[in-house]
Amino acid sequence: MADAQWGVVQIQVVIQNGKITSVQFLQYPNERNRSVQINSYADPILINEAIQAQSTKVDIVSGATDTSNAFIQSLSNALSQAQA
Amino acid sequence: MKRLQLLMGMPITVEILDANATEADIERVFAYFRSIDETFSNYKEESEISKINRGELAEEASSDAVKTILALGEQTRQETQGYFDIEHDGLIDPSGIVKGWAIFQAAQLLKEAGFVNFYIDAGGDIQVAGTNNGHPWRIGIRNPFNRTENVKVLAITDKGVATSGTAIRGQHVYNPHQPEKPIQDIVSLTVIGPDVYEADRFATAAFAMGKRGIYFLEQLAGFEGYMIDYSARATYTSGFERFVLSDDKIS
Repeated sequence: MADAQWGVVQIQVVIQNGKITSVQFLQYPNERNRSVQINSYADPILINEAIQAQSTKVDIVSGATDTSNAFIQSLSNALSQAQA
Repeated sequence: MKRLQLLMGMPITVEILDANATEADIERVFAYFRSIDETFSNYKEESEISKINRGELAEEASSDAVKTILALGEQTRQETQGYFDIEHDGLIDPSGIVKGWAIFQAAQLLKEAGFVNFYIDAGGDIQVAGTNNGHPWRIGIRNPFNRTENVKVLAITDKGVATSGTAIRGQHVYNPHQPEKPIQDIVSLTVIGPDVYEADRFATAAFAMGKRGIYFLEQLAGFEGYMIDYSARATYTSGFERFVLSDDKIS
C-alpha cells in the first residue's frame, strides 16, 4: 500500500518462478478528476504466456478464416467423396 | 444433426442436438446464408453492394438489410476509434461486419424455431446455444502456426467466439489509419463476446489495432480476448481464464 500523489494505492502482485505474473489494483484513487484521468491512460498489466498445444478434444475450432484455394479444393473433394 | 456446406467462400457447419431437428431446419439456415451472399458479396456483380459501388444504386434506395449493415458499420467505426471501417478507397466492403451479423441472425432463426442446443460455425466464427449434452460446448483456439493444433480449449455456453488473424490466407485485416503498413506484430486474436456479431466486429477492430488491441478489449465490458503474437506468445484479458478448460482439469 502506498500513499501516492493523488491518493492511496494498494497493489497485489503475484510472483511465480521469479516473474511477475499479475498485478492487481486493490484500491486506487478515483474520486478526483485528475486521478480518473490518469487511470484511464494507464494500461493494465495482462498475463503473457508461451502458447502450448492442448490434447483435450473439442467440438468446434475458432481460427482465422481459411479460404485458400488449396484448402477449399481439398474440402470440396472430401465432401464429394463423403456424398458419393 | 450436423451438416457442412461451402458458402461465401468458407465452410459453414450447423449442428443441432435437439432430437426434433430435421434436414429442412438446417437447410433454412443455409438458404439464409445464400441470400446474404447474394445481397452483400463483392464478388457477385448483381449484389446490392456491387451496384452501390458502381454507383448504380443509391444507399437510400437499398434494401433494409443493406441499410442495417451500413448503419452497424458506421456505429462500429465510431466505437473502435475508426479502426473498423467498411469503406476504403471510396468503396464499401461490408464483409467484416456481415459475417458475424449473418451467423447471429441464423442462430436467431433456429431459436425462433424452438431449438435450444446448437451451434453455427462459419469459417471459425461461432455462435453456440445451450449445451452439448449438458456440458458447455468445447471450442478450441487454433494454433496459427500449426493448424492441426489447438492452443486453448474454451468451455462456452450461449456466447459468440470469433478469431481474426493473418495466419492462413495472409493479411486480410489492415489498419485504416495506416493502410500501407501491414500488421506484423500479432498473428491471431480470439474474442469471446455476448454473441458472435459482437465478438466478430470487435475481434476485427482490435486486431487492426495491433498489440494495443488486447488492452482495448480489456476495457470493453462483457468481452474477453486471447492474442497471439509473432513470437508465439499469448496475452489475454483478465477475465479470460474463466472460460479456459485445462488439460489437467479433464479426467
